[in-house]
Amino acid sequence: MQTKTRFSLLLLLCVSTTFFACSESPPEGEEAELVAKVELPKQVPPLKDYGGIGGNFALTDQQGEPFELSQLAGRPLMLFFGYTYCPDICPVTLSKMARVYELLDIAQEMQTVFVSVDPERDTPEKLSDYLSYFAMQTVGLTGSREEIDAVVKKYGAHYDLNKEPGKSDYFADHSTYTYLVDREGKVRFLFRHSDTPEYMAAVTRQLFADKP
Amino acid sequence: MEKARWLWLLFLLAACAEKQIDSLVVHDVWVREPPGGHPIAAAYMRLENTTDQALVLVGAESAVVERVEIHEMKHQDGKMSMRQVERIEIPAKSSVVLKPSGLHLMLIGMEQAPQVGESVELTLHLEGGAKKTIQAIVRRGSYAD
Repeated sequence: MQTKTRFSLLLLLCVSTTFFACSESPPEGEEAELVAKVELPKQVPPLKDYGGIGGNFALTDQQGEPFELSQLAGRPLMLFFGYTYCPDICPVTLSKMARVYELLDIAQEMQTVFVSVDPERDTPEKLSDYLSYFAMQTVGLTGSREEIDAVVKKYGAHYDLNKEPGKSDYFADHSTYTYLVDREGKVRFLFRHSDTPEYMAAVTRQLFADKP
Repeated sequence: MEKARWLWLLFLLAACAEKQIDSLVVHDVWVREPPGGHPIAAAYMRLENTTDQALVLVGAESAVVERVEIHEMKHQDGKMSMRQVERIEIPAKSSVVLKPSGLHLMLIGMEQAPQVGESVELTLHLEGGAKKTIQAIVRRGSYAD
C-alpha cells in the first residue's frame, strides 16, 4: 500500500513535470478594445502640397469594374500600396486607418484606397475577400503590371516582388507610406508606418474644418 | 517489479527532457488571422533563454504547415523589406521578441487559413537538436500589435 502511494505520488510528480516542461504559459487573450476616445496631439505639422506626386489614374476595382480615382472627388481618402499576401504591414496599416476614422468619427466621410502591387495573385475577388475584413469603406484596385507600375511611379512609391525559383509563395518589399488625399484628389500628407493613429488623426482632422 | 516501474518513470522523464527544452521559455505566442483567408500567416512570440549560454533558433515545423521560415523585416527609407534568416540567437539570460515589423515566423502553405480562437501547434528547433513544442493561439491583429 505504502509503495502504491509512493508510486502514485511519483506518477503525479512526473505527469505535472511533464506538463510544465512540455506546455506553455497560456497566451494572452484578445486585447480589450479601446473604446474611449483618446486625446489627440495638439501640435502637428500642417498639411502640405506635394505637387509632383499623385493625381488621377484608372485601374480595376474589387468588383472587376473599371475605376478612376477621380470618381472619389469630394471625399478625402487614404491611399496605400500593398498586396493581400502581405503578412504584416498591410493588415496593420489598414487596421490603423480604421482606427483613425474611428477616432475622428469620420468613417462615413473617408474612403480607403488599396492599390495592389501583386496583380498576378490579387484578383478582384481576392481583393474583395481581403478588404471585407476591415471595417471601413475601401476600394481595392488591381490591373495589369504596366498599369500598376504607372500608378506606383506617379505616387513616387516603389516595390519589388521577391520571386524565387522553385517557390510558389513570394513576398514583396514595398513602400509603406500612407497618402492622405484631399477632396480635390491632391496628396496633402505622407504618413510613415511608425506614425500612431492619434498622430494621423490629428493631421487628418485638418481636412475637416468642422471637427474640433 | 517496483524497480521496473521506477525505471519506466525515469525513462518517461528522460524522454520528455530529451525532446523538450525547459530552459527556453516561450511567452505570448500568437498567430495573426490572415485577412482574406490566405493559407499563410505570421507567428509572434517572446523567446526567453534562462540559461547562461546562448541558444539559437534554427527553424520550426508544424504538422499543418508546409514549411515555416524565419523572417526579418527591415524598414528603411519608407520601404519595408522582408528577408529569410537562418537563425535567431537568444543570448544568455535574455529574451528576443518576435513581433510585427520585426522578426517573426512565417507559416507558409497551411492546410487551411487559421481562424480566430484556433491554435496552431509549432515545434521550434534549436541548434544542437533540442526542440520546443508550443501552442500559438490565432487572433485578430490590430494596429496596436
